[in-house]
Formats: sequence, structure tokens, C-alpha cells
Amino acid sequence: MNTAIHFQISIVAAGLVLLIGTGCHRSVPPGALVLTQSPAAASATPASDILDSLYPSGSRVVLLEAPFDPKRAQVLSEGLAAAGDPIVSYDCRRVFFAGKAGAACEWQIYQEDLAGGGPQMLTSMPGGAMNPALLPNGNLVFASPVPKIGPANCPQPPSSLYVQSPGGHLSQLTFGSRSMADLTMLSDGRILFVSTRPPESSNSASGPALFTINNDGTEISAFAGQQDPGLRIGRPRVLADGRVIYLVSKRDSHLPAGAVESVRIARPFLSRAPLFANVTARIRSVQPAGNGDLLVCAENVLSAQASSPLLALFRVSSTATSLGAALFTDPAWNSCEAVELSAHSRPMGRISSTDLTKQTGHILCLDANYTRDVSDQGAATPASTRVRVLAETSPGNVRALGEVPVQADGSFMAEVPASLPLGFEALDENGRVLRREAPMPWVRPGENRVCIGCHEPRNRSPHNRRPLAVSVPVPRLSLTDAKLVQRKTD
Amino acid sequence: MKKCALVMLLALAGFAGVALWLKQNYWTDHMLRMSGQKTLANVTCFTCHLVSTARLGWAQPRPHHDAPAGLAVSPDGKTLYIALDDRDEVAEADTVSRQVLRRAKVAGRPFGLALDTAGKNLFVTCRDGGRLAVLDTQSLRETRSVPVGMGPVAVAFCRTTAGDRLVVANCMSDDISVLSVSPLQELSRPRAGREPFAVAVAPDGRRVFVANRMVRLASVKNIPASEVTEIDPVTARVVRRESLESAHLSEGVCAVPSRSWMLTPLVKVRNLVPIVQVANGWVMSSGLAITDVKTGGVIQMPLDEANDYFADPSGVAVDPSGKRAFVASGGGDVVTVVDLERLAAWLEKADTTTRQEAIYDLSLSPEYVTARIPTKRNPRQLALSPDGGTLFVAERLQDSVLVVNAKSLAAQGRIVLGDGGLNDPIRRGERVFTAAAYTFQHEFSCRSCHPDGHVDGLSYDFDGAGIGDNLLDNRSLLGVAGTEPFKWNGKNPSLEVQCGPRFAKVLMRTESFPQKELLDLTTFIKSLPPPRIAGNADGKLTPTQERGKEIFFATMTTTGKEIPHERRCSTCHRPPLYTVRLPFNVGTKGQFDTIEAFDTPHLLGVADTAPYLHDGRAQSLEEIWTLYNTNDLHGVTSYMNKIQLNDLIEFLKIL
Repeated sequence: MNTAIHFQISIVAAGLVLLIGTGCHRSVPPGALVLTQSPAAASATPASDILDSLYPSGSRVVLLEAPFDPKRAQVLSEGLAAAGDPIVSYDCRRVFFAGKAGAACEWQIYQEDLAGGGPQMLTSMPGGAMNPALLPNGNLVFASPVPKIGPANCPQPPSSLYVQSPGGHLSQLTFGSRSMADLTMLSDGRILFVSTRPPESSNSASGPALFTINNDGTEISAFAGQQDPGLRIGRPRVLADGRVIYLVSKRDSHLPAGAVESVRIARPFLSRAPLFANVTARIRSVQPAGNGDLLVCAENVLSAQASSPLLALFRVSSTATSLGAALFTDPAWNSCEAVELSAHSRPMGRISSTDLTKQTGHILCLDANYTRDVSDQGAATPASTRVRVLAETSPGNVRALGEVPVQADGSFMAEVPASLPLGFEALDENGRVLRREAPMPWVRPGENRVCIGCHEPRNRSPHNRRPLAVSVPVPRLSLTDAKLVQRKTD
Repeated sequence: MKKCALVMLLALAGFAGVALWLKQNYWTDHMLRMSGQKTLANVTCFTCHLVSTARLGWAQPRPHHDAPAGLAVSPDGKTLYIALDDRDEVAEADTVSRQVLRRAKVAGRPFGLALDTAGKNLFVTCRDGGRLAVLDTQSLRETRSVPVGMGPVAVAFCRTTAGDRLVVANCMSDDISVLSVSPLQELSRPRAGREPFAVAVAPDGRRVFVANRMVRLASVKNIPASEVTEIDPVTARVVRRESLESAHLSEGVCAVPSRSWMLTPLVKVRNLVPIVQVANGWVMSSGLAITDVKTGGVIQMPLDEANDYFADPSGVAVDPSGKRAFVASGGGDVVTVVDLERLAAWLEKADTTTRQEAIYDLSLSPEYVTARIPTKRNPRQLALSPDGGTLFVAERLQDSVLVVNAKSLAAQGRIVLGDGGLNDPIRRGERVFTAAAYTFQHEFSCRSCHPDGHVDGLSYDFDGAGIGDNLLDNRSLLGVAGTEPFKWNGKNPSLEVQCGPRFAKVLMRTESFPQKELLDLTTFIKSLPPPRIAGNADGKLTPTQERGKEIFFATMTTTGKEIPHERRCSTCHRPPLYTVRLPFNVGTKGQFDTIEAFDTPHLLGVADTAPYLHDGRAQSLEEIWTLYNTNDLHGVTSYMNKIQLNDLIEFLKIL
């Protein structure tokens, strides 16, 4: 008798363990999707920010189980005026999305536990929050504030990236006057996001590009996608085949809908290519699915409403050149974004190298004369003897922190204020500016930041040389002695 | 009962009081007097006394595994010979059925294999035995044996106008044995670079190339370079020494039949650049050196990608047509496939500067790397069937050989040699030790700086409080069990701390090893015995060593003057570990050092751990005293003459 009871208990316990330990928390069948839907009918409420235009009033995040029947959509953003931009936690137990409690409220990040309980607001950022992503330790990363829609000359604070622990502790990760948003996680643990690359010379323009930072805001680096100034890019995503894809649209469009491009992570600056060669429909989103397929939300040009086609959901292979037939469509709703509801691997974690007791960091350049720039005559630019270090103290205000000598091997080093966008001007012996890097990179407190050159060729590793700058006293540059040099950033 | 307890309590209190009094009035004084230091935090009697090596991990018996080392394929392609160094065996496997047919006992850790042209004789280097054994392939029995240098790890067979020759790389004695086959005898033993590890015959058969694993000894601030040693097998002499700048850990070399190329996988190291990041190959990257056999010119090509690395390149094989090369990544668990025609086309188009800069371009490899074949743990040695149709990959820590169709690159199956040893924590720890999966973008593994747990002979500039002020000699992990604390500043009290968060934050730039893996890793490290490069078979000391021992334990100089306690060799380097595990100021504080007392290294196997001192400034044991002990702070040695110093060093070599 006892044996039988024990056996039954064991079976039940094993079942519970299996239920808890595998797959999703809620009994969600394989292939279930989280979908953002926006009403097919145009919203009467004017959009005041970019999320309003992406997710007009009434937009919602729903759970769809196969077979995908519009009538069986379960609303996850119940009670919210609008919602969108969902992601699924690594353990597949929670869904995070941007939501808006009421028409007059700001967008914030919400969490919905798939076990039930309704949406729970996680952030309370002034100006709103958007683009949720999760660090491997469960901390939430997002962009804030949500850019307003208004006249081009209307100043507004730029979006920055923030990290928030489950306990609510908030830290800013990015700094400066350039907007930084549209983030996702790379498998190596870095945060990939979209911003604007500063122009590298007086006759070049700035354009959107992909950047990375570590989970503590250190090592901001250009990643790929140096686009034309007239374009905007958004919604980068990492594919299992080693590519990063992103949407490309016209800069004046508030909707990041258009074409999709890809770059190979193996050589991101040399591999820009269209994703779907034969697709003319405007694509709203592309999301990798578990088996290497892609979930694509795009205009359903094959539908009856060809003049004003609804957005439908397609599932295609990552090598497809066309979309084929829609996987899901709902005449009352646009399908904006779809995410597969499945457990997925966490990116690599990282122990922070910052020291928050400090207010400065170090910069070391191995060779300020190592550059891909050439002079007008095609010859190499002359060698620099000094470098002027700039800091953007507030949007539009650039100050010179000071000048540091360039050593005979081209190296220079300085201690600089942390968490301020830094710029550099390589000067010749007459003080003429040879190369200029407008303020964008920063150091975090205690960070030792290095670069190989000044506008150096992309994806280069350093020569094994001991830089002379490390053997001389390190100049300490501070805001106290800074001089205003410019009121307008590039 | 109460009375008894009271007596006990009083006795204990009395004992504690006496101990406290002794500590304050004798022990502290004793410790300070013996060490000559002002303060001694966290020091107990057991720091210096009652130390035994018998209970250390490396002194315990450990399980043995069927780890494949060298491979050799018979001329008809039907048989694969596999050296199983940890079993003292050589296995014979059928390449079609992928079954092991026979095993032969070969004493002394058989490691490297080569067959003669007819496939009748299998030549086996015995790594621990210092010998080359010859097995008759018909009977799979050892028929002959000949002594070579220490630590022979690789052998190549070549036909010359003067008869058949064997060239053996002796990784511990840093030399190359050139032998005639008939009669089997050593003709000469020229010096190699440091740790010669792989041998291959040039396409024309007139030269033999030896890849050396470690960089040559040089000033710590010089750009390091390892060596490819070129041998004329007829004269048995070195004809050229090619430098691989900032490259080391080459464990393979292979000829490209259709071109005058020799290929040598390498680790491109950046030890002189402050280690403040890992991204962009900042610490190291993987490459392939192309040596032009005719001119001796060397070009280094990258094997990694802009955001992903394939660490610890090891074995290399080239198909008979010379169109494709295969490079095993021991840390990355892949075999990289290089299209040599595309590589040649790129080289042809590139100008001299572009070729010289190629190794620094992390986006270049997609030009010629056409595939990455996934393997199981730790692929090291490679072999191709004579027709080039089948690639064999020794998955060393999986106890298997992966069989790959070399045309389609599809895996065909495995020759299973053992169970992988996953029940053995030491083996599990070695898997962690050799895996680059824990490092940011898989750039390196523990083994990348500690090949086989030992040293790479380099000093690295670690990220200290600032940048560029922390050049530190890389220390061997062999024999470190029981020698805590670790780091040159002695701040890490245990291997678990040293290899855990500290390693993750400063080097891996990721999160720390999971606790279970960390425990396995430290178990593996503790199991590594000290290196032995010298010793006497009968266990007795030579007269020179005896004299050196007397000097080591001397309390008086030869002129009768007493040597202060803190300046006697044996005070700080106390047996049996030859360290008292305390930091001492030996007068080596450098310009950028923030401390003046450095951890006392143990001396077990010290002769094989050059360079020396905390920043690696001493290239040899002699230099410690002849160049860097002018003030007698590192032991009183100024009274010694040259012979006495030599005697001391001869004694140190057998520790």
C-alpha cells in the first residue's frame, strides 16, 4: 500500500517537476505566438509620440495558439489603452511590452506573467519608456524617453538606454545628445542599438548606424550599418545563421516600415545586403523564430484590400526571397509584430568592470595617426602631435577639456570625466585640426577605454606594441578647466 | 559534574591564555624575525610549517582516459593509428567500420606518430620516456627503441638521398632529434626554438619544418616571437630559423603539396598591450602562418571573425591537391576549412603592406574560410587519408576520433575510444580549462595562456587601477596545489577565487564559471604535477647538486659570515613546496609597481618556468642573481663565485 502511494506521489512530483522545469509556465502549445495588433480602422486620436504612431489607440498584445484563429486571440494587454513591442522572457514565463494605461498617459514597460495576473507596470520613466529587452540576469533594459512627434526644430531630450533591476534600481547606460534606442541583445551579452553616427569630416553627413555597449554601459562601439543620412533604421534582430537584420525606411517616416537589410556578424561593415530580394511589400517587422524561420509582418498585397492592404503575418525561411501566403490575417486588425512563445537561450553574462566610487575613467589610443583617412591628394595625413579632448556637457554644448601630447608612437592617454560624450581633435604641430571625432563615446566610472587609432579601419585588432603613453604620467582632464568651443553639435 | 566542567573550562582558558602569550611574545616575534617583515596578516604556523605534499591533488592517483593524441593513416587508407598517451597505448582502428581492432602497450606516454612510406613501421614518440619506439604494424608490437631528447611529442618520416630519416620534436629539452632509420640511431640533436611541438616535411622532401610552441626568451618589453625551425634532414642541421612575430602556441605544421607553402596555426598574442578589453582580438586571436619554403618569408593570416573567435588552433592538415586546409580549434570545438585557392588569390592581389597587416583584419577570414565543422570536445590532432577523402579529428577530451567526409564536410561517424570520462572531476575540469566557450566571444581558454597547464613564457599587462602599470609574468599552474595565495600580490587566497570572479572580470570579461564547473576546474588544476625537466634516475644528487643544496640551505657565507634569516634561500623557499606562501620584498619593485613585496613562488620544476621574477624581467635563473640581486635582498648571493652560483642553479633544476 505504502509503496503504491509513494509511487503515485513520485509520479505526481515528477510530473510537476517536468511541468515547471520544461517549456512554458502556462500550458501553451508549441508554436504559440505573441502578436501586436493595431486596429485596421485609422485612429481618431492624433499621435503625439512615435509609439502612438506605431501602436495607435486600441493596439494590443495578444497570445495566439495554433491553429491561428482571430477569434481565439487572448489579450495580454488587457486594460491598457495601447500596447506593442513585445518580447518573451528567456524562460518563456513572462511577456514584456510597451503599454499605455490611458490616452493621456505615458508609455511604460509592462510585464505579463503567463500564469495570469494581468499587466504589471515595471517602469515609471518621465517621458515614457520603450523597446524592452532582457539581460541574462533578468534585468530589464529599455530606452527612454519616447521621442515626441513635432516640428523638426522642436528640441526634445534624446532617448537613452537604461537598465532596471527587478528591485527597481535604475541606471543610465548611454549618454549624449544622440538618440539611442531600438535595442536587442547579442548572444555575446552586448546590447545592440540604433543611434546616429557622427560625421567623420566636414564634408560628410551623419547617418543612422548600429552600436553596441556592454551591460554596464562600457565599451560603446560602432557595430555596423552605416546608412545613408536620408534613411532611418530600426528594430535590429539577431538571426541564428549569424546575421543581424534591421528595417530600413525613409527618415521622415514615423513608421519603421519598409525594406529589410542584413549584415553578417562575421564582417558587419562589409556585408550589407537586402534580406528579401523579391519583396515589394512594406515590411513592418521581422522576428527570428525558433527553427531558423522568420516571422514577418508585412503588407498583405495579395489580399482583397490591395489598395490599402492590412498588415499580415508571414512565416518564411531565413533564405526566402519572397513572403508567400500569409500565416495569419485578421480583417479587423493589422498584425504588427510577432514573437514566438518559446524558451530561448540566454546571452552571455558579464561582471561589470566599472567602479562607481570613481568619477573618471581613462582613455588610451594606441596610435592617433593610424587612420583610414587620406588627404585630398590621396596621401596619408600628416602626423598629429597633440590631441584636444572635447566633452559634450549638455546637448549642443561642447567644451575642450584640454590637450594631451601624442607620443612618438602615436599613442596618447588621459584621465577624463565619466559618463560624458567625448570627442577628439588630432592636431598637427601648428594646431591645425587633422581629424575630428565629434563627441559620442564615453567612459563609465573606472572604465579604462582603448582604441586602436583615429578613424582607423574597421574590425582591426591591435599590434602587439607597448604604447609609450603608458610610461609617462597620465594627464588628468576635468570639466573645471574646460573651455566652451562649440554650441552646436554635428 | 559541575566541578569537572569548571576545571575543564579553567584549563581551556589557561591554555588559551598561554597560547595568546606565546603568540604575542614568541610566535609573532618568530614570524617577524624569520620573514624580516613589519606586519604579517592572516599568518599561522601552518603557513610555513607542517606542510606536506602527500595530500596535494597532484600527488594522488588519478583516473586515466582514452584521450587521442597523434594520428597516422596507413598508405591504403584502411587503418588509423591513434596514440593514447594517457593509457600508454597505441590503438589501431578500421577506418571503414570505425572500430578499434587492436591496442598495443607502449610505455612512456606515446604521443606523436608517423609511418614509413610502406606503412610497415609505425614510429612513436614517447613523451615521458624520452625515446622513439618503432612498432611493426603487422604485429602491432614494439620492435625497437632509441633515446631522443626530453618530451618528444612529434615525429616526421622523410626519404632523402642519404637514406630515410626521422625528425623528432623534443618539447621539454627544446631540441630536435634527427635520426637515421636504418640503422635506427640519432644523428644529431640541434637546438630548436622553445618547446618544439610539431614536425612536417616540405613538399619537395628536402626540408623538414618544426613548429615551436613557445616564444623565444627575450627581454620582457620586446615584441615576442616564436620560431619555425627549418632542418636539412640529410645533413641533420638547422638551415633557417623563421620568426613568427607575436605568435606562439603553434602545435601543428603541414606542407601544401601544390605550393611551396608550410602552414603553421598560431595564436597571435598581444601581451604588451594593456589588457583592458577582450573585444577586437585585444588579448589574442587565431591565425595561420604561411611560410614560403623557397624564400622563408612568412605571412600571417587571421582565422577568426570580427565578433567570434576560434581559439587554440592546434592540428593542421592539407588535402593532397593542396586546395583545402583544415585547422582544428581546440578551444572552439570546430575544424576550420580554408580554401587555399581563394587564399592564394587574395594574396596575389594584396600588396606587401596589406599582406603584412592581414593578421590584424578580423573581417578578412570570410574571404577564404569556407566552413567550420563542429566537433565534440577539444579537437587537436588531424589526419587525412592519403586520397584526401577522409579527415580524422582527434577529439581529445571526448575520447573519440571524428570521421569527416573531406569533400562534403559531412560527419560520417566516430571512432569511440572511451567514455569521455565525465565521471572524473579532473577530466571535467580539463574540459572547462580548454573551452573558450566561457570567454567573451570565445576568444581564448585557460589553456591559451597555460598550454597543458604550464606557462607561455610571456608577461601580460593586466588592467590595474590605471592602464599600463601592471606588467606581470605568467606563472605556471603545474604544481600550484597548496601554494596559495595566488597572484603576484598574493591577494587571491584560493584557486576558487583566482579562477572565479577575478578571472571573469579581468580576463574573460563575462560572468564567472558556474560553481560546479569552477570546482571541476580547480580540481583539475590541483591535479597538475610540477614539471620535471631534470632528475637523476637513482634519486641521488650529483656532486654539483649536493654543493648547490648546501648553498641553498646555508646559514653562513663561505667566508663565515652569518646570513640573516630573511635572506636565506630556505627561509622563503622552504621545503617541501619551496615557498612559505608569504610575500617578500626582494628588491624588484619596478617603476609602475604599487607594491614592493611579491608573492613567493614555489620552486617545484622552477627550471622550466622561465622567465622569472614578478614581471618576467629575468630570462634565466642566473639572471635573477647576476642582474637583479645587486642588493642581496633576494638572498645573500653576492659572496658566490660563478661556480657556486652554477651549483645552486643545478640544485634548483631538480626540485
